[in-house]
Amino acid sequence: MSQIKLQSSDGREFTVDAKAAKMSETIKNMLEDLGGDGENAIPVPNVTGAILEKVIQYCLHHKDDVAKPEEDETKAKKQEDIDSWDADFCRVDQGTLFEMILAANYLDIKPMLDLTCKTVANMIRGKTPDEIRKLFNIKSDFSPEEEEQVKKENDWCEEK
Amino acid sequence: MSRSSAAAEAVVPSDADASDDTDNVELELELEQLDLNTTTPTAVPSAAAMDSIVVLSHEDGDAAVAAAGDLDLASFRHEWQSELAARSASASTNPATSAAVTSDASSASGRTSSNYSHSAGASTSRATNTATSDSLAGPPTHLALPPSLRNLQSDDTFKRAFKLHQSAAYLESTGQALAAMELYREAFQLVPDIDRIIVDAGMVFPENEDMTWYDEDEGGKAQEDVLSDYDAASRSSNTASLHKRKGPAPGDAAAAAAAAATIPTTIVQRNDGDLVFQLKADAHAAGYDLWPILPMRESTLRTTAHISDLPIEILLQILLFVIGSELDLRSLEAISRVCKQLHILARDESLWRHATMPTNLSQIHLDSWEPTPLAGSALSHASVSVHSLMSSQHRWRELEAEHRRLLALYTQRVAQHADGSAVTLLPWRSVYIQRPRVRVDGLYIARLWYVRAGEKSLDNFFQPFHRVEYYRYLRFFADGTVISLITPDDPTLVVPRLKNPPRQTGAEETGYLGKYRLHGDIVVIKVKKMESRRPNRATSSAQANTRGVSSRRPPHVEPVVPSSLESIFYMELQVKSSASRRNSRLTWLRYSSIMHMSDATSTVNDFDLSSMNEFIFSRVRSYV
Repeated sequence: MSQIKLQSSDGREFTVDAKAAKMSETIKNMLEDLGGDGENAIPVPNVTGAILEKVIQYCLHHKDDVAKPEEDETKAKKQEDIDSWDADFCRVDQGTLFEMILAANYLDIKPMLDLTCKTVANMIRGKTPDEIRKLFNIKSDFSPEEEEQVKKENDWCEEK
Repeated sequence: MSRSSAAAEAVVPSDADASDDTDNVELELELEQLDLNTTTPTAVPSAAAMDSIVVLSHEDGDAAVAAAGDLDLASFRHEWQSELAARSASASTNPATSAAVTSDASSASGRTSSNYSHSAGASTSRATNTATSDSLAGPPTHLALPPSLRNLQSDDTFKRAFKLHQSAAYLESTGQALAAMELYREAFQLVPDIDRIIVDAGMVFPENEDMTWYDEDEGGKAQEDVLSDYDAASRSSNTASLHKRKGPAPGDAAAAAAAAATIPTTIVQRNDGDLVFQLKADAHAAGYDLWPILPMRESTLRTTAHISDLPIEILLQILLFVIGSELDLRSLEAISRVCKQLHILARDESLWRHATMPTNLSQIHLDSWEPTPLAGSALSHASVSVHSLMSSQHRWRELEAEHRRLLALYTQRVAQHADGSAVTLLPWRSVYIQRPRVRVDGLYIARLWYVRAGEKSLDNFFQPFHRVEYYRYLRFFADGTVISLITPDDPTLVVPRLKNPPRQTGAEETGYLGKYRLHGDIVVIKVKKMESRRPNRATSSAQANTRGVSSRRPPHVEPVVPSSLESIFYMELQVKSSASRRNSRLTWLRYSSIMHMSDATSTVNDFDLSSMNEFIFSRVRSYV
């Protein structure tokens, strides 16, 4: 079985290379549980077609990657190691990016989850609280007193 | 829950025959209050509070101190009656709530005393607080939307949000926190500050819950009669804030009405507490695990995913990436100022632990470059053996020792505040901020000079001396790497060259590269000359470039000794702070060279430190 079918929450069907699909631990486990029946599409109820398409695009590109050894985990936290394909892949609007994170989380695709989370982290870095609020459309729910208190608590990092 | 609801009906018999929505709400409030009283005695005692978990204890009534409680009760009654007078006075100018106040008056006294009997031994602060919550929390019997709100919100959206909020409050009161969370979220999406509007309009007072909660904690401590200064102080500050909340003295009706119209502030200053503890407690009291992230008003009808749709563990992962290997804690602190939930997340122990410990844990590769203190070093670390490569086992032992040291640090801190009964770990964030560390967001620069004799003039009477200035730079990286550079170049020239660890820059390969390690406030550094990636170029010429003309080489600069296979430079520096800046100075304790000779021996030479100026830190904005 080299090809399997996936069905998104809005009913779209995708035929995917099995190796790519198995990058998702969730799908891998489903396949093992269902047995080798390639006829019926595997439902992916939490992911829309548009997002599943992105997921599949990622998996096809990365299916032959060598699994990183465990000790590299801390190295993976570096910002600068997003390669250009991955960076392009993440050049989507914010809503889509969050949905990609949720899909990667649900489908349990660790490298894609890391990539998308890193992308969000890079958006945040170096920004002021106000810029972050604007960026993500967040309303401050601090009272003026609380805001003052946090500012005071954070004073230490304003040192030159 | 059935037990509580039965009790609730007994307490408020006047509502028993009512059947419309408004009474449900009243009942809910009763349930919440009873819930507090019936369930709290099972809460874990606060002595066990660890880390970020805020555990609040509730002391049940104690017969031994009941007499004191009676006194409190009397004073409470007096205060409550004054309060009530003020309320009725203000109610005349505020007809929307008059029904609430008067109807509340009949049932409140019975309820109050039953409430209060639970905590007969509580302190005065507790008593006044219960008074506040009861009189303020008296649920209005009339819940139609106040006319003012109709102007603010479109009727349907607001009504729906309001209903959702009420249902959520009900679910919450019956312990179905998850379901409640969903409804709250929907309500907040429709009207972002629904809770505040409801509170403002006097429909419910969710704040009273956390006030009570805090004070039961304080009351419990008071009961034990171990009122340290700390307790007393926090108690008085609580009482003060309560008085502020209650508004002016009875009789001043106009002012009371004005006070009733303002938003009650819920800031309870805890002497030792960071805001995060309070926010967590507030969130818990309001029925959240964490505060929801509120989208801005203009996007209430959003169709795409919002950051608040991400689960907590993913948000934490993102924050961990924000810190990254460069330890960008400035960005993390910016996040903590965005909103309540992000504040709580940005203060998470796991993040600050990561920031505090990385050079001790997995990020340093075990190799011969692990800087180990030399014999006769200023370090009194018995566990560190001389010239040995540390095994990972060894390192873990050291880590444990470090951990114990931190633990001891905090036990001291607790003992200063209270009776020392509670042993808690110092939050990692405090550890990170307070303990000595080398800064990775800039350069440590030492400006040095020496005098070189010039050529004698022809008449032999005059001999010029040249004052030669040069700089020493130390650039620390969060992963345990350090670059030491000695050059006459100005900082402006050096800053861009030292931005990244050398393996990423490739081109400029000058200076000395090595590892550093902190032992308390002493940083131990081991560096050796960087290997040039341009093999054609002679080592000596590369060196000459760095230092200008080689003949002007300053003393104490790593001399290249041809007969040695490898020379390693060893530094011990003490991290010091100036008056206004933490960790901004490094002073010399020791500077040695270790030469491994071709015959497998090695010699250690100590340099004279008398002419070595200390390093002063300069932040470089582009570094982190």
